[in-house]
Amino acid sequence: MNKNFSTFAFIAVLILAAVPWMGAEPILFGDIFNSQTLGHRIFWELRMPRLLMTLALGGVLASIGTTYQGLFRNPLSDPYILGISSAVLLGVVVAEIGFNQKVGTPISFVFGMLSALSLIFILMSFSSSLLASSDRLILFGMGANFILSSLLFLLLSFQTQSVGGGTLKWFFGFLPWLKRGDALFFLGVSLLVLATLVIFARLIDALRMGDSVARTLGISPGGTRNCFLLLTSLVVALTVSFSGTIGFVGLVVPQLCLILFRPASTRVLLLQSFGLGALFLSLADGISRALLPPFEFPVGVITTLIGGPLFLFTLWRRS
Amino acid sequence: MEKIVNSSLIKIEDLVIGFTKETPLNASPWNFEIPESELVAIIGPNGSGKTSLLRALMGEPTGLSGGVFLKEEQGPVKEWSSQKICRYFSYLPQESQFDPLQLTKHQLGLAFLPTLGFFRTKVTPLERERLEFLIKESGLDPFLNKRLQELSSGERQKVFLVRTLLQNSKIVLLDEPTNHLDPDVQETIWGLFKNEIKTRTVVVTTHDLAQVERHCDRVVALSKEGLVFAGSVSDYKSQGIKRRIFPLID
Repeated sequence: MNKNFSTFAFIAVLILAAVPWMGAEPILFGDIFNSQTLGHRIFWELRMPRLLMTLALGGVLASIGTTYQGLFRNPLSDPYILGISSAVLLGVVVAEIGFNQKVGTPISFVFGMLSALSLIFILMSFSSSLLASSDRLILFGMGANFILSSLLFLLLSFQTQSVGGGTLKWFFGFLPWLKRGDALFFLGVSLLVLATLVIFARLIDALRMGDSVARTLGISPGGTRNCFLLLTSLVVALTVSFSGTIGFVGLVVPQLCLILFRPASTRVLLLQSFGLGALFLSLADGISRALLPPFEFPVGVITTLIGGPLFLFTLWRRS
Repeated sequence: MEKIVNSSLIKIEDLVIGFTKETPLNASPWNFEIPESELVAIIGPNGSGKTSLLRALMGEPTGLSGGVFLKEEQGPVKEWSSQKICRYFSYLPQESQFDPLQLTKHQLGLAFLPTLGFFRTKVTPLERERLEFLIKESGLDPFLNKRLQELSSGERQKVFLVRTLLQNSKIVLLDEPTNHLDPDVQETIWGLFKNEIKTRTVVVTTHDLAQVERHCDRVVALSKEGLVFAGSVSDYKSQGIKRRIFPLID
């Protein structure tokens, strides 16, 4: 484990050092210390905030994936399994088609969040029967995902003209450029989410032994799942409203951590997932910008292209 | 030697068990009591409802109607909060679910979850003493830093059993606790149970009828038709209950 971990730390430093140099505009090394140059501005005002944001976003997605996989005792769980992402996408498309509000505008954001909140509300009002079993929750998510994405394609199918390429790209994860302060705020929020999950991780450890045992350890299985789900779905809704759905980070990173680092508790797994997820997304973002500059690929396409084979690799390692 | 009967701790009132209301396991509701500080065995053929009864005792939905009441406590157990349940019951299921990567010591540590909370990690001297005693008795010492997946199923069963006993509860519910264990370890474990009942009540489901007659104070015998017997082990022997629920053995 130690050998793996130091290798990982080494690769992490390499990635962190490399990513800010990836992009359409080549930057000279000397320029980043010279405040008069364009390179300095691009490096410090565009690419560094972007790096911070991808670290935050990747970390949050991976740690929520870890939480769900532990909570549902199902390795196929990812942050979008409850249908929250489909709800946001639907809200955003409604805003675009119905009110001509492009993605990224405040009204589009509000529509996405409102749509997600209504799904969370439905989830919570059925909570007594749904939260009684983790399988039922996953099935609920499947149903919600199917219904919402059908509605989405229904809207898209007779309104193709009016939905811009921006929105379609955003479906597969598209990262905005942020100011440095906003990026730092984002990173702060993500660390707060991580801290909350880490503090309550022992509850997930207890729930992994089954609801009956958890109850005799003083944990109400339904109530605990309820709290975790409320927190995480709000965060997921925010990330999707912000940058679309970025596939495979939340699914494959926890699985990779289990194989690479063999963590002994959910708490440790959460920390490792956050780190690996942060790196994974920032690298994918770097690649999405460096592949065919100045064209920028949706980052979700890159994460899926890398994550898919990695996922198959974890399957092979399991057997 | 007749033991003085302790005051009743668990009262089972009009209890019907099963998985759905349409298919209850017992036609007529059950009423019996379990005294304090006794080793109680629930015996019966497969499918007679041993596990369902055990789970109904701690308020799980396998108790379809009627209720389980505890001395000096309000309301049936099934209406209790989990915070209250954990002070009264610790539970070992027949097959434990587990995280294969978890370390043995962390699994044992979960026993302190009800008393410790999230931030305090230091156990009290009393808890430490019990921890060390149980680890020594069960021979778990070499496994403490091993992952659960590296243990044999018997060793793992011992870990789960020790976790259940470690939890500071008034009643210990064990569903076939000696599964996977070799005869020597089984002997040790029954010895541990005898030690536990100095301070609390232990309820086990088991098929090991010889150990029941040797160690238990009380027997609850089930058959497919329902409750056959609930009473002291001497009455169980004198009334020939064993042959009534298992006709093929002598």
